Amino acid sequence: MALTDSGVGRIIYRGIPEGGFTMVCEEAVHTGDLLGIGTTLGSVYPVDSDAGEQGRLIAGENGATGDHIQCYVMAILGGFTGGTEAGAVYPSATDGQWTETADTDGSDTDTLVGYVLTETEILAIPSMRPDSTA
Amino acid sequence: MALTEGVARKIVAGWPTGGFTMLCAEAVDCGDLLSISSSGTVVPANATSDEEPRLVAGGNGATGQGIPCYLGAVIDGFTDGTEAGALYLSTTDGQYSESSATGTTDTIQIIGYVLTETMILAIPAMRADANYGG
Repeated sequence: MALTDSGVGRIIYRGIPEGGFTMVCEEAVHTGDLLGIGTTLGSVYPVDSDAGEQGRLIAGENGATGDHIQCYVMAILGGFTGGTEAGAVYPSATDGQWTETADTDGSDTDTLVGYVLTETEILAIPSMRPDSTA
Repeated sequence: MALTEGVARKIVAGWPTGGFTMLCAEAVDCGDLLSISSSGTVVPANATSDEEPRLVAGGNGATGQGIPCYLGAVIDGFTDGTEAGALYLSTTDGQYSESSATGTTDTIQIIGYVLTETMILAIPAMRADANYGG
């Protein structure tokens, strides 16, 4: 088994900082998405490893383009299936999602962004490791 | 343009919630990057002194005064930040810069990211210590 992320139905069990802080969606995002910081004022977008994007934050709620959403720096996320306990977690090649398999294509993002806690939960700490690409 | 320090920084969110108290060995301004000094004291970190930033000041403090400190924080009160830009310890006590110091043995690890023109994410203790001197 390996972590499966449907991209919806994620739960934030705990986020740091408590209460989060506000950023603006550059694109639609889902609760628990791995977010990059955009290049327009205070914006965030769901990270895609294929695009070489680096995760910095976690979406605290769903948001459409232009919406203000709460974001976290670290979080305990639930709503996954099949996680391998203690496994490393990486950005997925699907926008905003999390995977246990690092992207290996040249110039794609393979930065470690968290760890699996249980089959359904992960520890998300996207800004803690140096940026890395395959 | 690049991040410029403002007159007064404001902590938007800090963690752990409420912070914890340390004593100032020198005068400290709210939001300063702090290194840990002797006997449980903190001082504003300076890249040219090869000081390693570990904490963020949660308030102003005079020498000998206790202040709340954070492991990380979202801080407002800057101008001209380049969104998504990496941040480094400045060569001015306690301050942040988008440019890493360039002197041999100066402190150069990434300690945060620009979120908006005025707001940053400070995570000083999360990356390995680094300086040009190795």
